[in-house]
Amino acid sequence: MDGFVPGSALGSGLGYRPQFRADLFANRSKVDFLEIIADHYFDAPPEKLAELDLLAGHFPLVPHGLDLSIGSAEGLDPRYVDKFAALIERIDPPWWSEHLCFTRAGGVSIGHLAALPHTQEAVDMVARNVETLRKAIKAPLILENITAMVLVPGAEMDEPEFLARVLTETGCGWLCDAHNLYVNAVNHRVDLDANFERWPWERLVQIHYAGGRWRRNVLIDSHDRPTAEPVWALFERIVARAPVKGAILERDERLPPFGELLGEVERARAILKKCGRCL
Amino acid sequence: MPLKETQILLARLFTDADLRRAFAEDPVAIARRFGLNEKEAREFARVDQAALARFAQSLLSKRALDARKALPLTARVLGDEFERRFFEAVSGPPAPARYRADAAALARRLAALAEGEGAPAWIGDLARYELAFVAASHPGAVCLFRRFRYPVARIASTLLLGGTPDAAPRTSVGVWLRAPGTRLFYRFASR
Repeated sequence: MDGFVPGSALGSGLGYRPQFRADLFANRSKVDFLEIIADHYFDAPPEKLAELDLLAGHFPLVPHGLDLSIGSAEGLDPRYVDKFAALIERIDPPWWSEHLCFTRAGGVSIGHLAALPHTQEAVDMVARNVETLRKAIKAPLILENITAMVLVPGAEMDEPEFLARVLTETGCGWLCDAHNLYVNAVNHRVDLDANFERWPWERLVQIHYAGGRWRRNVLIDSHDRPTAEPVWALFERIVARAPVKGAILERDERLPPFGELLGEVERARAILKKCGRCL
Repeated sequence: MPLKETQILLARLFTDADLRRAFAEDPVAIARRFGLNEKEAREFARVDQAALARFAQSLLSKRALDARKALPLTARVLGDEFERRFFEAVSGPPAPARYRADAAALARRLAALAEGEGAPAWIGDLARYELAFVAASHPGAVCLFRRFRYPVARIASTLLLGGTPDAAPRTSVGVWLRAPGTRLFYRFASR
């Protein structure tokens, strides 16, 4: 079975942040769907679950996890899987997403997303972990490409091939983070134009976009700036190429006035419409 | 290279400054210690150590950012000093329940600050006040009692309204209560 996402496209949306809740509800019609940080609703007090139910009552929601560590060679944390399963049961999303990475090993919680080595062993491990997941969670899973500040030596393949193999062997869809693609290309001097067709566009379900910043000659995926023009150009090229079902502005920090966020969401919507997507 | 051993070694290098220093001096020996054979260790030793250090620093910055979110008023008062105070308070890899552990470590550090050490005298109380809300934010039963040297609830209100607190020491107490599955109840009183 191809683990792809059935159903209609969702359109142009926002990563939900509690700071702009009031503005969000005042501008409901301008946001097609929300991506929520799943971990914020695990072991949540009643107030936080009330917020979740409020959001679910007004927007399609897609939960996005942070700490599943789907590439972990030690396997998945069953308690984390159970919490995610309970959340998905509660909100019944059209799909859910996590990162193609590992976040813990040997009893150490790294605290962020660490890149996997591009090896067949890593591909096989992700496939085993996804198989375990599917016993607990039936909703379609899509996997997000991350930035790789540290490249693990001994790669057997490059990033497009690694991602393509993972998605083929797991049957998962792809959450393409356009900014992460751009960051890796800039920092590791990869020609995105030359290898554009090697990415698994047939697996694309959703796009993330956001802005980053430079620190000591390294581009950081800080998600704390407006989306840069090269990323918008990449976004448009991706949307023209592949039938994406949803685009999310993933602005995490230094939130500007809400109107600026809506401006980016509207620009993404205009591109989707121009390319005949999410109609 | 074996995936499990590689991930364990990477996780330690990302979060342990002492290990990174040892790795910089003899990467093959460190990699062998983590179960890689000679050939695998020599391959792993080719990792970009500057990139390792940058990633490690980014993890610390992320922890500081998470602590800012857990203690927003404290972060606002400390301003640019927040990260320095945070890095003085935490060391080593993140503990389980890291958001609470890191915020608690900072609150302890701030509470131990001597008067005139570049922060308001009530900063430790403010951090402990905010930390109590963090500790209370779970669905189970909550019963927290905190005693403060300053009227911390009033200080927090003043800050929330954009004012500048000018508080003399005055003992205050706070209580946070929750029955399982119900909303949080909290009250404050000062002498």
